Amino acid sequence: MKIYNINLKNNIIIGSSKYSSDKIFLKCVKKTETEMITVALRKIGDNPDSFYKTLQKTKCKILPNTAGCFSEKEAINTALMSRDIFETDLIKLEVIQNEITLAPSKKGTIKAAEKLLKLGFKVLPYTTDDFDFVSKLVDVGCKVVMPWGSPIGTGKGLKNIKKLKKIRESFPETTLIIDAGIGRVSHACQAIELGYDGILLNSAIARSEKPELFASSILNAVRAAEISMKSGPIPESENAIASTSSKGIAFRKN
Amino acid sequence: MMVLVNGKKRVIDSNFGIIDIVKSFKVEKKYLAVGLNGEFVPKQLYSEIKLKEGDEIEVVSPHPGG
Repeated sequence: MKIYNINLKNNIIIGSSKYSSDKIFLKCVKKTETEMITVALRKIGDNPDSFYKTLQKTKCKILPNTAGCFSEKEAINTALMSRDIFETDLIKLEVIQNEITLAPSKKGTIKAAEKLLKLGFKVLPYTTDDFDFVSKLVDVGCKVVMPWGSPIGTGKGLKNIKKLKKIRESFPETTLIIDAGIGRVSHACQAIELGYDGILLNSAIARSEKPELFASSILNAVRAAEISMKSGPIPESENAIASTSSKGIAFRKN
Repeated sequence: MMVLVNGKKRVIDSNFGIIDIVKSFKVEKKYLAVGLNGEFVPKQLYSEIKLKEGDEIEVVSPHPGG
């Protein structure tokens, strides 16, 4: 998938949080064959270089996030600090509206996206499945938009297929990634079947009982869905269409 | 004089600058980023900016995130 001027062979982006150890995180990176990892910035703690060094071992591109930012100002400051550390213009933009649902702020996200684009960032905004929200971000110049399937960490999957489908059909030139809500491999398949370019997930892998196994299954699921979509699946029909001919049934006069 | 570093009070010499705060973390500066009174401070300015009483310095580093 295309992330601004970057072409990724793999269409799975994974988060780096909530793993029980760096070792398991690194194994999951390998299992998903991901090329891009999301990270955050927080107040400096003990051994601030150790996580950075773990990230370097992955050889993946870093996608810093503005997770937890509640204002445009906080998000922009975090983006500037991230660029300073990671030397990347990429930023996963999150401006949160509600602490409980972790729903993004439409107004705050659009304003921050506009400013960050002007500052030379390649902005990947996290949105809901609201059409107007996505549309405005495309209008201000975002080449990638990441609607949620459902709220972060819920694992509820793609709650509103019709809305997500309309977004996909309306913005064929925009790279669209389902971010948040993925909990099962079937959700990843649905995203690809809807024509989304990729998925971004963290909790589904990191919080599963066997993260490596789940990571592996996600890669297989996405691959299966991609192959399947290339095969030209049958269109949905409102009426039943018999697969077996009704002609020549025994004792029937036809 | 007193400044706040990541929300905690710290007494420093009056001639201290951002660079001195950064050095106190004993880690290469590529692993961290700095903000001063709500504004981002690029690395190339660490040596130029002197601190004053009550300044609020934020020092951040990479952290796992989704």
